[in-house]
Amino acid sequence: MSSVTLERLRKRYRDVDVVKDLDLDILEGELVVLLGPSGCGKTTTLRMIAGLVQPTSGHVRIGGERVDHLPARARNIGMVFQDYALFPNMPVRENIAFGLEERRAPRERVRSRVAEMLALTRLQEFADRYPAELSGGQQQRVALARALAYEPRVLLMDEPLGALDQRLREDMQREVARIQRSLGITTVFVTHDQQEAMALADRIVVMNAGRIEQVGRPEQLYADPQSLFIADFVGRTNRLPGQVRELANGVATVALRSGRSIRARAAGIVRVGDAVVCTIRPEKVRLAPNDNAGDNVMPVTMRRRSFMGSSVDLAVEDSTGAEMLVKVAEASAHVPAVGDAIAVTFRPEDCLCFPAPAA
Amino acid sequence: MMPSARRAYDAGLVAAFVASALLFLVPQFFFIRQSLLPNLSPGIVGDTISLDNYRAIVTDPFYWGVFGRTIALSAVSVAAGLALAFPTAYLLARIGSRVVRWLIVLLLISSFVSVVVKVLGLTLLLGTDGPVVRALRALSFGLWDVRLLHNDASVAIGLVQYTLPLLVMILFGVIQNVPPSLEEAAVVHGASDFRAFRRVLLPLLWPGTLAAALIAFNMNMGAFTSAVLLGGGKVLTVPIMIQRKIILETDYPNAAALALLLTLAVVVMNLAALKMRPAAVAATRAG
Amino acid sequence: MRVSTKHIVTGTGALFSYVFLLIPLAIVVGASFDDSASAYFRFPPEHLSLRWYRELPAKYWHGLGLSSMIALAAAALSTLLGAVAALGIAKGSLGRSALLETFFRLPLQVPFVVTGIVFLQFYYLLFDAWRLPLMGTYPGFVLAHLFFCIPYAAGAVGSVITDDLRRIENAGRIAGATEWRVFLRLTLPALKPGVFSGLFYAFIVSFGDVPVSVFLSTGGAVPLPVEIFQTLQFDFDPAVLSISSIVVVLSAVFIVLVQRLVGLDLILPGARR
Repeated sequence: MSSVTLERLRKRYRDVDVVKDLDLDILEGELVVLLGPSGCGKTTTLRMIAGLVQPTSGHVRIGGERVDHLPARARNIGMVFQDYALFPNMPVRENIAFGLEERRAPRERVRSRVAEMLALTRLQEFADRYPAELSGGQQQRVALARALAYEPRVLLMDEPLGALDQRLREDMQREVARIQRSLGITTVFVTHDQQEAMALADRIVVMNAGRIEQVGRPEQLYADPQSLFIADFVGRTNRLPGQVRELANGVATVALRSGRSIRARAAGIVRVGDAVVCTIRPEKVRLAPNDNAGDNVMPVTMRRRSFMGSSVDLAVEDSTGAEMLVKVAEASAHVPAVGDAIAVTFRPEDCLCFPAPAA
Repeated sequence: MMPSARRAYDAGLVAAFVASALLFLVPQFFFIRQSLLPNLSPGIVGDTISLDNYRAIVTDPFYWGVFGRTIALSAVSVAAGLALAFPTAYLLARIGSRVVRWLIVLLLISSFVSVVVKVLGLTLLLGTDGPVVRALRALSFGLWDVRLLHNDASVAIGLVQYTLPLLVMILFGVIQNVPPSLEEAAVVHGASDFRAFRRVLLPLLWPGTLAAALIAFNMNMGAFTSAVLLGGGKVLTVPIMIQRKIILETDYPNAAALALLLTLAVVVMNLAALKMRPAAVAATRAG
Repeated sequence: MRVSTKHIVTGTGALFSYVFLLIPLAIVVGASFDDSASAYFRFPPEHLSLRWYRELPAKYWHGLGLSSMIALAAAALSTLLGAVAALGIAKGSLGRSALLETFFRLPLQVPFVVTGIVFLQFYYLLFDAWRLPLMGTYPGFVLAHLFFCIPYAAGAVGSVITDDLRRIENAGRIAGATEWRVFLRLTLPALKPGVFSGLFYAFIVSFGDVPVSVFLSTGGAVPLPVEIFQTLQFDFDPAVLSISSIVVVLSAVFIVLVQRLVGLDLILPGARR
């Protein structure tokens, strides 16, 4: 297994820098997820690691050695494509054997590795079927088996689970994690689904407009987003726009549009008078016992409620008509009826205050 | 769909079918009948139906030679055309630049212009007073006074001029249907460009390629512009013989017989080629 | 970009193809400006002049006009018939019958030269039996050209009648449209690329045809390619260079116009750029 290092990687198409000065260190055996919205450059970065795209400047190192001059086939990497890219004219067995055959492995080894891979991905009974006869989930497993068969030092995955339905997707996430852990293979996984990123990653690399916004463990990004973009993109959050009235010891007092004031932790550079957006996660918002004037109590009206199985989502509205999402545990005390006037509250330390984006 | 709509489509189909059947089959019927009649003298056709015309042709080794040459020329031209069309179509299909639009425009212009014009250009280019011959003469101090025209090769070149644009366009469509990710997957997994072509791309392109090859082959078998103008009377193909029988000898029955045998040859080769499809796909699987 | 063997092979092949296809045309255009009237072709031209453009015999213009009219009629009629046939095959009660599809493609199995003499003797027959003159007449040419144009048109239109179209039509029906409205507003527009490419290719094949038209031409009615062919075969006339150059230029103008106005997508489904 090898580490992957990206040094000042840049990719320019016509006049646009699709990837700008990317620096990243991926450790041996890590599962790193490149997360970001469409067009942020995550797939381009992955393809530069693979060798399918040439960087405009900068280097890619695998295992410490520069691989920029090497074509894709010489980099000893495995890749799972978004559309699986299984060879339709070959049965599953041959698809998996492909990489080994191209490396001229002896027939015995090919046979045993194919059997191992079929067992690893639990596809033994499909060995002689053709890709067209398989379901999406099965095809995905074949693609994975094919990529791992020749023991590459890095595994690259380009939004491989996008075409699967929710349930299958979650199952496959667990499969991928299990296989990655048991093999200990350095993996770079690209997705735009933040839930998927949090479920799989040892570390998440959040990308936006060609740059890395933040790198960290899922819990870190969730609890300590360094920008509004990350707070919004990783996990769900409520946005409360307002203006800073006071600022002391990293705690800001923010006047919201509804007129209420709340207190929040200042994140990023904020000054008194700045326009800001405060974020509070839905599960950190509680129903207040009554409309008391305590810290961060907001009077709202109940609008909708959605039963989510293990929790209940409440959509509430403040006096300006702005909506907030409140997540309460299913077993908690009674859920208000639609139209009720209630109050919600949250702790200042759970609320983050970011500079408002330029309009 | 409502039954009334379906009936409307059916009615349209019937009308189109009847019109086409009349157009396709009626003239052919009379034609076949004429091929069975004896040619008494130029322009005079007898009444007795027999297979004499066919027997005369099929037993004559001269005609076997002409048929063989026609088939060989057509086949070789198709092969040469494919050899050129593949890289061209691949480039057009895979290059992601705006240049492709203009390249395709050039290709369309080339297919728009009738083959006579191309043959005219070839005669100028390869003729005894043309630049190529003169250059060769100059380079070799008068020793190389070659005739580049009036031989099989020049006719083959003319046939390739005839079919190449169409071959490129058909292959272009076929290659576009193969997702680039398949080639990328092959390469990432360790295959060289050539191996990726042979193991992954070619098997998928094979049915389309075969179809294109058949179309080009059929066009070549029926063409005489190149053969007449570039062959200069020294290259005899079946279409030329047919033309001569009509224009020079006014021998309609034998011309008809030749024509029908030509059509038969084409149909047989098409059917034989179709049989090649599953075998070829299986062969590339094993490779 | 790293240059690989693949790039070299495809690049060279493509370059050679384009040079191969375009050099004869360039030579024709270039030689048309040469002054000399000799029976030997001269290229590069020795004395530049527009002589062969000024002295173009009328027969070439007649031929150009005739070819265009024939091609227009053949393209239009064959596309109409081919479209009706393709629609009937795809949407009629018989279902997508391979037999029917093969039937409409039959003419492609018949070599062009055979088609020429088939119609030649058929027209003689009609004249003998019913005094119906079709040799060397406009309808005569169009009819024969229809023979080989219909398969192109039927194939082109057939290829755009896809399952996706059926889904769109069903969506229209569910939304409340009558069958006629579905046809008018959903089916017909979807046929556009197929109809355009059918028209386009039928026109090309008809306009450039020699093997069929040469047998059907008489003294007064000779399509342009046949005119050029006969000149090359029998009595060379340098004017053939200028009329050919005009055809090349007209073709180029036409194609570029089509590309500008309508885009290549309509005639070459798949030329997405």
